[in-house]
Amino acid sequence: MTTLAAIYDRLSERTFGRVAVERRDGDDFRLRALPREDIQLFVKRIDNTRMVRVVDTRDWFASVSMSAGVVAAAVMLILLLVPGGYSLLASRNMERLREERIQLNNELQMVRIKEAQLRSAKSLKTWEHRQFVEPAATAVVFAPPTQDAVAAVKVEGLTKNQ
Amino acid sequence: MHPPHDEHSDARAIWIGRAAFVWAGLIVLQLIYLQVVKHADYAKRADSQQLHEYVEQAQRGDIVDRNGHALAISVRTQTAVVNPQKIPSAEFFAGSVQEALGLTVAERRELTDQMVYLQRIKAKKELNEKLTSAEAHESLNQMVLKRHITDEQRDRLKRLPFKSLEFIDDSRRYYPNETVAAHVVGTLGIVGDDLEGVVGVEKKFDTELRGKPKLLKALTDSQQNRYVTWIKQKGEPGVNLHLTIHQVIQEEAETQLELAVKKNGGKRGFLVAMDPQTGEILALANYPSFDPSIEKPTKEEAETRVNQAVNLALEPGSVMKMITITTGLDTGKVTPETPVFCENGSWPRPNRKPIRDLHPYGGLDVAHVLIKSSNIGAAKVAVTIGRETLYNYLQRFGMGQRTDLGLPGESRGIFWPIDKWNQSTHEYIAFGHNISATPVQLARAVCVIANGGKLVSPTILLSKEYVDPESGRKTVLHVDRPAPRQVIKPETAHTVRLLMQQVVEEGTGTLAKIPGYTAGGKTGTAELIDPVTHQYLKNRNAASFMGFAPVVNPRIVIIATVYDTPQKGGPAAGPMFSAVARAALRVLNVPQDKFDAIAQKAADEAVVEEKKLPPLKAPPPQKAEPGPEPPPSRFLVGPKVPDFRGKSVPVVLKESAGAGVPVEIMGRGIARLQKPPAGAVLPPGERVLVEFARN
Repeated sequence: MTTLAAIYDRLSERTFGRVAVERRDGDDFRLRALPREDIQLFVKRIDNTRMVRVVDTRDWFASVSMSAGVVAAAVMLILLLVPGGYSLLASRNMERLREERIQLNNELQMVRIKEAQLRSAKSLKTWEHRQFVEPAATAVVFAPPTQDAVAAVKVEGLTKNQ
Repeated sequence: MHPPHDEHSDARAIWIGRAAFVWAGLIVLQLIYLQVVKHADYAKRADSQQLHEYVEQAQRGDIVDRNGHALAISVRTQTAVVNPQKIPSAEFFAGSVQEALGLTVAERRELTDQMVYLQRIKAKKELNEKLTSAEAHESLNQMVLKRHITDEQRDRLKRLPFKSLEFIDDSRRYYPNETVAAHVVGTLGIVGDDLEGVVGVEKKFDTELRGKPKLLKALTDSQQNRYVTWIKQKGEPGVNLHLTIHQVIQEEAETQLELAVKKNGGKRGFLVAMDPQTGEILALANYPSFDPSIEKPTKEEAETRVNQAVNLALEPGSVMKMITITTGLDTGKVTPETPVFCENGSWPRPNRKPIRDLHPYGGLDVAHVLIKSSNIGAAKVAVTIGRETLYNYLQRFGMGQRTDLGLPGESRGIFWPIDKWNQSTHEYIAFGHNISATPVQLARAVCVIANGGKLVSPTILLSKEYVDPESGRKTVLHVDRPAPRQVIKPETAHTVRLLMQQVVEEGTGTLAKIPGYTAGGKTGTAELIDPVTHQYLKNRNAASFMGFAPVVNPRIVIIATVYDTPQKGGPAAGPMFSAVARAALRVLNVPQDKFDAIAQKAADEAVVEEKKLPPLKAPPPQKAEPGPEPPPSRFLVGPKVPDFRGKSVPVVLKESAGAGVPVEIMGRGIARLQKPPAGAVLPPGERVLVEFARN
């Protein structure tokens, strides 16, 4: 930092030599020097109570136009990037759906395999010789008849709400 | 009022601005260098990292039976592969993947040894050392860790820090019926680096089942996940094949075949069941069978995969007498009543070996030559027919010609051209020696008798189905087959059917009777030949029975053989024919045409019930057109239509079955009308329409 200040002073010595001298000699607002440092810090109280702010329409216009420009540039950038980003998301979605379709197709094939195994002639032969047992009468529950039923089974002991 | 002006600040700002400008300029220059000068180079590097080409194999087509039951289905899977040259420590790698893949200790050791082996070959190659033939054919940069991994295994492997671990698309073939129809459906095997059909329909129609792979291009992210995919070359899914096989008949055939082979001490066996009208093969069984889900069979397992019903040509033996007698009848050279002297069991000829019969017969008629299965009688009929005529008819019956049924490796049999016949070849061919035929060829020959004289083209393939992968729409592509051609007269076929019925009723094939159905057939016992000495082996026979059922309008033809058994054709193969035919006729909803004692009782009770009904008005008399006078023999012409009017349904069925007259029943009650009328001669292939009514 000191090197930069020294370089700068040397470059501007001719024009701003007075300022540099003043800086070297003026010690009204100089703080205590830091040990082994060439940096000199100054403090100055500034009284702005009598300052009147002058409204500069040129500055206001410049700042507003810069803000608008930045916002416009940002919006244009977003508009430029959105289609690409959207298509990227859509592509990922499509890839995910494609993999899901392959997976569902695989699951369907596995279900078909299971069905074919159960319906194979050997499997049917196994079931053919099974003795299916009639359930006990008390284990059988008859559904209540509908309004327009022609015939119904009357079960003794069964109330309306059962 | 102007703001305070600091000339120092201006100067600093100007110098900062200059520095910034220079810095920006350098950046722009760098950008131009990277994006213009080095564009091609970086684009190429980006493509190599992100852009990949993939081959997506088409889903292999399904194989189903004639009713749509699945016989073979494919499921997409993934296979884990690794580049062993990029793995510094095979032992460490194997230990890492062991838990992920659930490998046993032995499998882990095998994996390590294989990786080390491949790394060693690579090192030898780099040192320009000589490689053995096996080493030269090894794939050094890709090694399969495990095929058909599950999703959980894949996720566990992905977490491992090995970048050369990759996953390639694969597919697994399932055979839900296990060993049933294994020889017909076939199986896949590893040929080179690829999996392709090696047996059966899987091999014959491998190209169509595979479809065409799709070539894809995809952009991948740093995790190698695809996020953009486009199709470079469109693919086609595999074609689904509908076979003519009926899985119930097939399963019954395999069960009965196994029982028959084991019971009769045989080594092998085969059975073919066909629809005689269309040539569609309803069952084709071999014993022993094999498990098609095994992709790498042992040598013994591979031997069982030969489809001998199609590949193995055998001397047919006595079943050939069917063709000999048919030839004689069709040419008019003999009739069923023509007498033949059977030399009392031994027929010596000068300068030739004598022809012998199993049982000595004196005088037989031609009908009983077939019924009793006399070799001498058949040889004499062949002499009467003549060499050229017999040769011609054997060709008409398809001997020596492949059936092109749609299975690989089909043999055409051994049928020498006539200029290679010696003076007695036709005599031996008459009873099934000096000629070889496959079971499928013999079944086709029986179909000629069963369907009224037409030679059909056997086929295993019913249709092909193409499914559009996008819309799911199915397009059925029918299989073109040659039209059946008439090779003998329908009357001859009818006559021979009745003769063959007598073989089952009173001849050598009584064990082939089917409860509730009429059946006809012929037994055959061919001695096996020693391949070294070319002599016939004692007590080692190919015992066969070929037949059809029912006799009137046959719906099924079966040829069943027990190979290398000491038994004869009737006891060995007859019961097998009976059981399979009975199951097949039940499944095909063929009504019974033969009344046994139980059915007779039920029919009589039904007649009693009918008689209890109130009396009905007599129908108006129907004028019967007089038919030609029937000749004395009942074998030579078609059946004469009986008078069914005024009779009940069971009585009509009983009388029609006894007369060999097919009827079509309409309504219930008492027969009122019939067409053609009583006394007319029924043309072959026609039925009598009988209308019944209660009043």
